[in-house]
Amino acid sequence: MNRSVDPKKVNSELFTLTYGALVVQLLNDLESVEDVNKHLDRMGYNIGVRLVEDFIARSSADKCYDLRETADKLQAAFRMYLGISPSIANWAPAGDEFSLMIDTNPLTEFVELPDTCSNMRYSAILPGMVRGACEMVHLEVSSWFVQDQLRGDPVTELRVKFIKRLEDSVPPGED
Amino acid sequence: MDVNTSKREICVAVIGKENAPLYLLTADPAAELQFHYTVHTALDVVEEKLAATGKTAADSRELYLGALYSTEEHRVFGYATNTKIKFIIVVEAANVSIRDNEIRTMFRRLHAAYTDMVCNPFYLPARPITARAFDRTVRQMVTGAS
Amino acid sequence: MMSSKSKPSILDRPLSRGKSEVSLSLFALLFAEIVHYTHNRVQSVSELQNRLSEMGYQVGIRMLDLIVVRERNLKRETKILNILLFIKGTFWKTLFGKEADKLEHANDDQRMYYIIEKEPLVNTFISVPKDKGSLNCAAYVAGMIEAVLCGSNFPAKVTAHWHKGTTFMVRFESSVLARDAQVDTR
Repeated sequence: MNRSVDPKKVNSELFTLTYGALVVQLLNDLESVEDVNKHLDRMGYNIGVRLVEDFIARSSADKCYDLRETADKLQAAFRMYLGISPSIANWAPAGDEFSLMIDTNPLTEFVELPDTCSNMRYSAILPGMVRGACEMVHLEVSSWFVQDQLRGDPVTELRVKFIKRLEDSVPPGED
Repeated sequence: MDVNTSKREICVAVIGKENAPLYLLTADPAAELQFHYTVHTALDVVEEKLAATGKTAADSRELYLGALYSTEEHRVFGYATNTKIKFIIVVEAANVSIRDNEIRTMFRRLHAAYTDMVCNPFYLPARPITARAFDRTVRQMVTGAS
Repeated sequence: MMSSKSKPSILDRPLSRGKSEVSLSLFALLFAEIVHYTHNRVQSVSELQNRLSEMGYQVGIRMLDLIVVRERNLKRETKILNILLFIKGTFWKTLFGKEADKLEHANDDQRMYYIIEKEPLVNTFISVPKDKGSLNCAAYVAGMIEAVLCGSNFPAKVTAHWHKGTTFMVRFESSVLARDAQVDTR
């Protein structure tokens, strides 16, 4: 891929409102809020898988050797793609878990969840993206929200947990 | 009621494109019905002003419509967005210190708060407004609390 | 200038947040997911375009309010040409960082206008399968244009076509033309 290093930008409200229209469409189409959550997560995964290529091309990122480097890369990616700088916090003592603390989540800028959707994970696309992107660089992680400003928490906290390193899965005979 | 109250406006209403009331807040809840009538009367004046804009010069296309009418007790001001949503603000007639400029600013704040509310993907346009953030903002305007 | 004799309140806070942006790649990938999802739920190209257009409408109607609140001097538009120039100019610039390439009036149909954009931003990462050659995902943008027109009281139908890049065909209801003529005569 031969794209410029300085990535092109688009109005964040176009992004925010497009995402909102998607969530409402899913809610109209699908049986349950739980299904909406799953779809958003899946879409996030698909986006993450493709976005990581873009990220590597632009940031000439090296391989990550430990989770701390991964955390830094994720932080840089949030800045590059969403224009926000989450802080990294709450490391687990074993060093296999950390949180991205998000002050202003552009996805939820205008959102008030209706009472009927109290179990909706509105921003579920974000943990999906983290999972997809990490998987492409051979890290299996799980990711979920611990706090969410949409539910009245003071900050939005996205947890990332390392599960295992994935083997290079080069199909046999294609080396 | 305390005469020296710092209340600036005593009723704020949002009216839909087809003139259905979407939101109404008064400083004194007991007077709500009365203000529904006040606002309803104001809408006739708004409609006249809007109809006139088709024929007169460009300056009447401004969103701020100015003072709509006055009674012994109240002064009523209006504002119509480009999407034909109407905002009505009622102040006490006794409150003579309030300037046109301030009313104008209040309407712009109201418009901004309304817009943020509309941008909530779960809000369906033309439905009554129940959003908490919007209500908070208007309450601040009406009670002067911050 | 506002005097600041009253205590700081809601009235003193800035009206709008600063202009913020996200990456085009992220937006384009999100849009690709939307197209993919929608594609799986419909039977035909026209159904797909309709659904994209409806989603675009929801975004456009909200963007319209946002833009009018932010731009200090905007007025209610009452003329067809002015609202079209607003779409080609301010609206396009806010959303896509540039004006639309062209605005044309059809020679043979008074009600018909064309907004032409060589490479709509939403199509950045979309490659249309060969068997769906007529599919233009800029139907999403067509829905936004329609929202701005209908929201501003210029009822119209807007569709996206592959022509000179992408051409958005704007067809106004005849009542709109009649009104426009009236405004003209004064």
